[in-house]
Amino acid sequence: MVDDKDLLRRIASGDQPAMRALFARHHLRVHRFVVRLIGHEANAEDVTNETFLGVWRNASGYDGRAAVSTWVLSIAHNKAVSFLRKRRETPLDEDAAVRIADDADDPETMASKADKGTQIRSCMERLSPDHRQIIDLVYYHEKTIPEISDVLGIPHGTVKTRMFYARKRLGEHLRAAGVDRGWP
Amino acid sequence: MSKHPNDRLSRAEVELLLPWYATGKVSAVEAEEVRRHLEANADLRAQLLAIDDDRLVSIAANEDVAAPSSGAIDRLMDDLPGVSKLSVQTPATSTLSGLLVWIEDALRALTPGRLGMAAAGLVGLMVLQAGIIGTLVSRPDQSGAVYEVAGGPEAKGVVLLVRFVTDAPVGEVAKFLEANRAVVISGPETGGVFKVRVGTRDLPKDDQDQIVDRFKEQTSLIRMVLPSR
Repeated sequence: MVDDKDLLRRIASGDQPAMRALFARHHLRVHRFVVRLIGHEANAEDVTNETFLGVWRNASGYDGRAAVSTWVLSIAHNKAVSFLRKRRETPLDEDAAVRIADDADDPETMASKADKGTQIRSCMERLSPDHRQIIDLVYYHEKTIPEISDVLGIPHGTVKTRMFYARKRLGEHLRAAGVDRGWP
Repeated sequence: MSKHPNDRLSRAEVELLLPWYATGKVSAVEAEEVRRHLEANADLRAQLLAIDDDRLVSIAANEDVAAPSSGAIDRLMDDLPGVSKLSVQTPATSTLSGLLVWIEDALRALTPGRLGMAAAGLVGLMVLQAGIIGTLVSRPDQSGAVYEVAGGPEAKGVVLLVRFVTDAPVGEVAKFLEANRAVVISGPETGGVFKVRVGTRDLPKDDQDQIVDRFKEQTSLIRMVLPSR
């Protein structure tokens, strides 16, 4: 199997099928990463495409230090953050407002939901984007501390403490909803 | 707790590392130290259980995000800078090496789906009969065994993410799965997450919810279950 680094070398020399292959391998995880951060599937598709345009433009600058999947996620992170910055400059659209309201159950509603998985999920959605993002990077994307440091551009120590506070905050939300897991 | 002579990490540092221990992303030396702390601290063990629950929820939340539209790749290829619209290569006109990568990846994606449901059920049962559930949910640095037994984009049925109770009797689990026409299609992932397919056809949302509820009721066998795409 041609590995990701070989594909990037080919992309750097303008090989379009290699670009298709890399996209096929990574686009779903990148798309999910972006959706979870910006919370809007249609916009996320544009940001995901922007990410892969960034891959095409910068493939020759890839130094091989990080895994390709980590390097691509770091581009996706930067594109998503830029998108969010731009969006903050424009008024919130009504659809987005409705979605936000739908996604975040109040504590009473959560308490009425007996299933623990659903309760954890509701509480996870109430976390800040930074906390939600690091939880996904650890649990879903299975990234190491140095890899997350690369993706987010923050020191290793900050990666560890951000994850710790994300877990702590999640536990606090759950306790408010009536689920005591004994920590924090 | 008395400090082990080889320990370099404080309890607080171990607490920070726990999520990466859960996903098998710490060094062998760190994993050994974390294990020693876990043996000595019930509250750290409780945190690890919570982390495993959170992990399953994070996976389910991500898998709930639908794939981008099928035209996304074509739009991307159209937008590539420095590529003339007339020269955009499709797999039919690409270089041989690029085409081989494309075909290889496509075949890899399809292979699991070619296994029939009967074979999947058989292998699923073999997985479960290989030992007690606890032996299958060991940390990745201890086992590393991961089974990919069926699935693929064309396979139908209701797919669930399941964490079994660690000491669930294997015979009971197998009996429950069989009674529900369910097969293990992959796993265990780190944290002991299995993907289970129920039935062979797509079902309306209400019916899917009923299946999830049926699994949730089995609290002696199943610690957590969430629907998956």
